[in-house]
Amino acid sequence: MITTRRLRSLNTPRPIGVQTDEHGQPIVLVISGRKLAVEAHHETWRIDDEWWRPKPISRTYWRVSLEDGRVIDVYHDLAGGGWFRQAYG
Amino acid sequence: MVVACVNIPRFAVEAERQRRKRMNARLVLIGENTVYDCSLGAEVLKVRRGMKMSEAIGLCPTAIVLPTDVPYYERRSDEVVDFAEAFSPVVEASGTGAAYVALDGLPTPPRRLADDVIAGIHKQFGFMASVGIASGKFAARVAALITRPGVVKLVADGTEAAFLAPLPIEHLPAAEAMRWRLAMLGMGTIGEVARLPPGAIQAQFGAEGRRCWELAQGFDSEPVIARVSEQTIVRRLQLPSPAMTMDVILAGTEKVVQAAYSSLGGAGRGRWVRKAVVRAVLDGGGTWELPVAFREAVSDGDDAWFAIRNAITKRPPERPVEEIEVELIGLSGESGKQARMFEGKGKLWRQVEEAVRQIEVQQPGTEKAPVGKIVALEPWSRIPERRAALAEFGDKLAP
Repeated sequence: MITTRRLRSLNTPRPIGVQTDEHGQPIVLVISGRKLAVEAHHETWRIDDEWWRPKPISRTYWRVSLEDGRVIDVYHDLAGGGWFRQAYG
Repeated sequence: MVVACVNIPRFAVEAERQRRKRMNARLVLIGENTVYDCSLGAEVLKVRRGMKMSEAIGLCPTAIVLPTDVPYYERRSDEVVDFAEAFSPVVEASGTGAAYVALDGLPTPPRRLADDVIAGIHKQFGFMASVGIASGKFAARVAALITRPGVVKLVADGTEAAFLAPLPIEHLPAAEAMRWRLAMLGMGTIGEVARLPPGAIQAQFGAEGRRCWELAQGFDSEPVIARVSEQTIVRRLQLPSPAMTMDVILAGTEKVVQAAYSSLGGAGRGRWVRKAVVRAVLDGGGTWELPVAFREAVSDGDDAWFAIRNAITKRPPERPVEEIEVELIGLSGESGKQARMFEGKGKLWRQVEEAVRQIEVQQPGTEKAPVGKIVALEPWSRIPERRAALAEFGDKLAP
């Protein structure tokens, strides 16, 4: 009698449309098809991990305030490219 | 006695090829310090099992070198032996990738049955077996070894000695020292051993020599011993990403142990377990295996987990873990149990379980309620998606 169960990841990154300025900072985010300007950059930080694996992790996170008042976290995937939304906690 | 030996040549290599599709056309060496198995192309380049790996790589420098994964080969081999039991009630496993099948009293003629076994194994598992049929296990084994995959070699009753005579003495179950001495005496074939006086070979080589002489004569009455079938319970858990830390490995294993024990409480209520085997598929290939024998049979998942946890802590997996498997072995009937005086939060958990049952009733057609349980994996991780995961709501919830 063999049964296989799976654990599903929580808080997985979701792709997001981002416009950046000449320094690579996000200035406009596209959320639910709506363009929202970034009003403030609160903080930025970088994580590099699992560099020994075929798919290393290299991300620059930004915590930003949007024009509608929300504060969200986004990151730029430096290894695979693209921008993602993910609550960092 | 009529015996068929089913042999899958280079079984470990074939098993590895099946799970690593990209290495189909490559030379393969399996082993650590010495060669455990090698592909046909490597054999052509004079690589032999037991040879030093450095020497083997020197002979075929373009080969892929894989670590030995014996638990995986044994599991695949057991699957093949299980399948062979559909053809005969008496099947004996003989190492990985080989088995003896007793054919006495079966309605199907031996050759046709052997053809069916070869076709069935190929269809079911993708392995190509060869089959040798003879009046004894040794001649059947040798016949299977010298026959091409997919072919049946039948050694007629009474012709075993003649069949074996021209074959090299390497086939005899003799120790290296005995083979070396036979070679020094100028004997290279089984027929030359058969021509020796039995008293002389026994005087030189003792019981081992006598046994080899009998086999060379075609005398082989060793019976096929059927496997003792044993019911086991296996539960597996695939992790969302390779787990590197001990806490994650322990958390995952605990979940699998509890899931395995919860099934004892269902269909197998009142069952006790004597042994558990924890296995892990490792990142980059390979299997880690840890057998845990309980001092006394255990029917409670928490008690079992205590023993298993201690064993894992003493001998943890050496690489990140992708999948965890727990197998419960030695299931027996209940022999009495000391009940707990205090159940702790039992009432609260019964309420939760009842709520889940209510949801399942309200959603007919679904076996499991769409209810999950958040499990902390690496709460300290810098990578947010590694911190927690959603597990299925199991049969048993440990507070």
